[in-house]
Amino acid sequence: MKKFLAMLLALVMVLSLVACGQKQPSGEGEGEGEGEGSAVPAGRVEVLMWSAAGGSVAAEIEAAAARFNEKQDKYWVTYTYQGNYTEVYTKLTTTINEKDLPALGIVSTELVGTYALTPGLIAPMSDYCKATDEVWAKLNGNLKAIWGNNGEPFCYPYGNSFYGSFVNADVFAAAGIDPYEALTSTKGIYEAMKKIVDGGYCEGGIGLDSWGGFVWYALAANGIMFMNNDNGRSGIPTEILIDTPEVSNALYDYMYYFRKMQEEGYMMTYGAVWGDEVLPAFGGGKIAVATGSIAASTRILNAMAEAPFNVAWVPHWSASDLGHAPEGYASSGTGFCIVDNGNEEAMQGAYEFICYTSEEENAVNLSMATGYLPLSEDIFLSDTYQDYVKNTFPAAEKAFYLQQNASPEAKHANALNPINNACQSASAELWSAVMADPTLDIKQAILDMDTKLQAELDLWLTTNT
Amino acid sequence: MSSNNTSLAVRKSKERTKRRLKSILSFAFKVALGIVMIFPIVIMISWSIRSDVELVKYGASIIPHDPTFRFYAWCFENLNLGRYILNSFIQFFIVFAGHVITASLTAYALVFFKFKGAGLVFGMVILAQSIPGDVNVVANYITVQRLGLVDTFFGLTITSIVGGMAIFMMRQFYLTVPRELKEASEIDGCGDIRFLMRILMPISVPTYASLCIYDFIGVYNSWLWPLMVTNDDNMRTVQIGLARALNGDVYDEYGLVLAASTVAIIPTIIVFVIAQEYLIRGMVSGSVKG
Repeated sequence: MKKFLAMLLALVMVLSLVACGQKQPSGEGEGEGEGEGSAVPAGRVEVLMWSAAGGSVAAEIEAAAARFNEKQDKYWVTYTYQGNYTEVYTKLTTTINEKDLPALGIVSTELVGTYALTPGLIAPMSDYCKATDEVWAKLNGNLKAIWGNNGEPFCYPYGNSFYGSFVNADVFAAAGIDPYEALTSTKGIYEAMKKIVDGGYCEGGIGLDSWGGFVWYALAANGIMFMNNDNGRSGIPTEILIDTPEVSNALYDYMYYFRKMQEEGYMMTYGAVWGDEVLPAFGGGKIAVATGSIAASTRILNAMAEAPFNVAWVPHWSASDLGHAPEGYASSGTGFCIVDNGNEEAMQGAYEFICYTSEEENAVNLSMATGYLPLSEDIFLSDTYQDYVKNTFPAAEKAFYLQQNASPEAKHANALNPINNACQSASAELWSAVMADPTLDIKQAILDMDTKLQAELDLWLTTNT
Repeated sequence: MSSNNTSLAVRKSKERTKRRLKSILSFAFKVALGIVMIFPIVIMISWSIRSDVELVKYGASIIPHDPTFRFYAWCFENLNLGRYILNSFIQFFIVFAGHVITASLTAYALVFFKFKGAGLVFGMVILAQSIPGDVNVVANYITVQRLGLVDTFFGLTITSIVGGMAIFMMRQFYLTVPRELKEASEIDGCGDIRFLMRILMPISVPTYASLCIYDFIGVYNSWLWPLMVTNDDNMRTVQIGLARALNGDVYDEYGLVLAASTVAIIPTIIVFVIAQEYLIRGMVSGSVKG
């Protein structure tokens, strides 16, 4: 039996090896990827790209690279997958031979600060264009805030990602609540969930994506600074401001109301797995709100496919009810950076490819592949994207216009924060501790987080300055 | 007399019943444990042919209602799977050959040569095993770069060619070889190399088989080192290649991730099914003296 089973499995494996072989070659027409490792034609300057994107996003970027390679005869963009964003960063910083370094990298907003503060790693886009040039000027203000450095172009996004909440609009309508008015603060969420659940409009209230970055988004939405470098827009931070009354009170409200929601049954248990528990509960109409990035829209729509309802998407709430910052909502997502590999021609090619991806056709395709909102209004109003909005995700329209006027002064959550990963870990720990222990002193837990992050920052400053 | 026979028969019957009950309970426990162990793989295969819509509708049921093989089709169309699996196997063969040679020689010296510090040397080999491989990755990568070994099989395998676990396994086996065998071979004029190659290595085949499985599982599942030392897609190993099915921060359909994982796990299952008894033998080697 064992030998039979082994032979059967071996046969399956041999058949799969025979079936797969090489990747399919590029087809005729546009949109086909060149594939990793394609040979660089003679006379072209290779622009090697190291990417953390996979799946359909990688396919779209490769397709854009293929179109770019076809469109001109000077540069040749080669796409290579190099692990997740942290692994790409590790490999970049340890690749000492410049000939092995790429000219183009893909970076997430959580790491823009780390890249910016690593000497000699990135060639800022300001070396190639001015802030007034169209490629930069057309970006929404919150994108400039997070992808710029001291107001100058630094890296460049391929979409505008947003954190917020997917909302069962039918439930809110039945309860007589406007989600855009109600879900603007943690207290507002509590009151809305209480009304919805106690009024019998929905079985459950809110389900959370237990990601450590939400705390910082909530503070950014309030316009509150938690680091003394203007939350990453000017220079290197030296102080964590969590212990100041403004920040600690906002964080207290944030944690207090979520703990209250969990205790009173208006929230799924903190720690519920988003994909396995929160998503099916929302798609099945069992909860009224599911937090998530706008990039999750496809999964949300799949989850409710059997029994569709109207879905709205509301940007991330503020920590306290001090109201939203006038500068607008912080952005997030992923984008490109020019790696300083010493090859000026390749770096120029990287810049030109980045500009190419910001053109309408490529920008629209990247937005639809990632689920991110478009970079600017003209891309949003393109025929292809409008088709997508009308036929696939109508909530994208309101989401786009809610943040369209965000300014470059938006108190974004990530840029120029060299201890981003530590911040996210610390806030995840804060969440877990507060939610797991109803008797835990929230104020003390917040102060402990401040101490911990200050120590992390001091360590970074000691080793890097 | 007959009452004695009757009570004996009753006692025997009770003992038989007890043994049978024990056997049934033991079997039931093993079956339950086996189901718990295999359940994740069953779920993985089941969900790899189900779309997100179906998963939400039918939840965690095992039987797909509307199976689809489009995720497997995507993997085979978009990923260079044949090349990745081949590279993983080449990497494994090089590492295994290196281990057979280096571990056999090292263990031979540690067991059959009497020299001062043999225990210290072996202790250092064991101590080195306690250092996580990830600690050395950056330093090793810089060295490999300087040697120009990026995107080569040598670069892929150089850090694994000598293995502490392999030395340990061979040493433990050689300790069970009777001294008389060595003495008899010396009487017949057999030197160390000939004894090692003509006598010791042939009888070490079961240990090599255990080592083969350990090496295969370790090499096939390795991630960080192959990611660091390869840039060319044609040099990528299976774990790196299949990670391209993931979308990073953009949410993926479960089916795509699980289809890629199912394809990756097939060779490991085959190796395990064929050679599981050697795996168990390797795990307990040296645990029983004599």
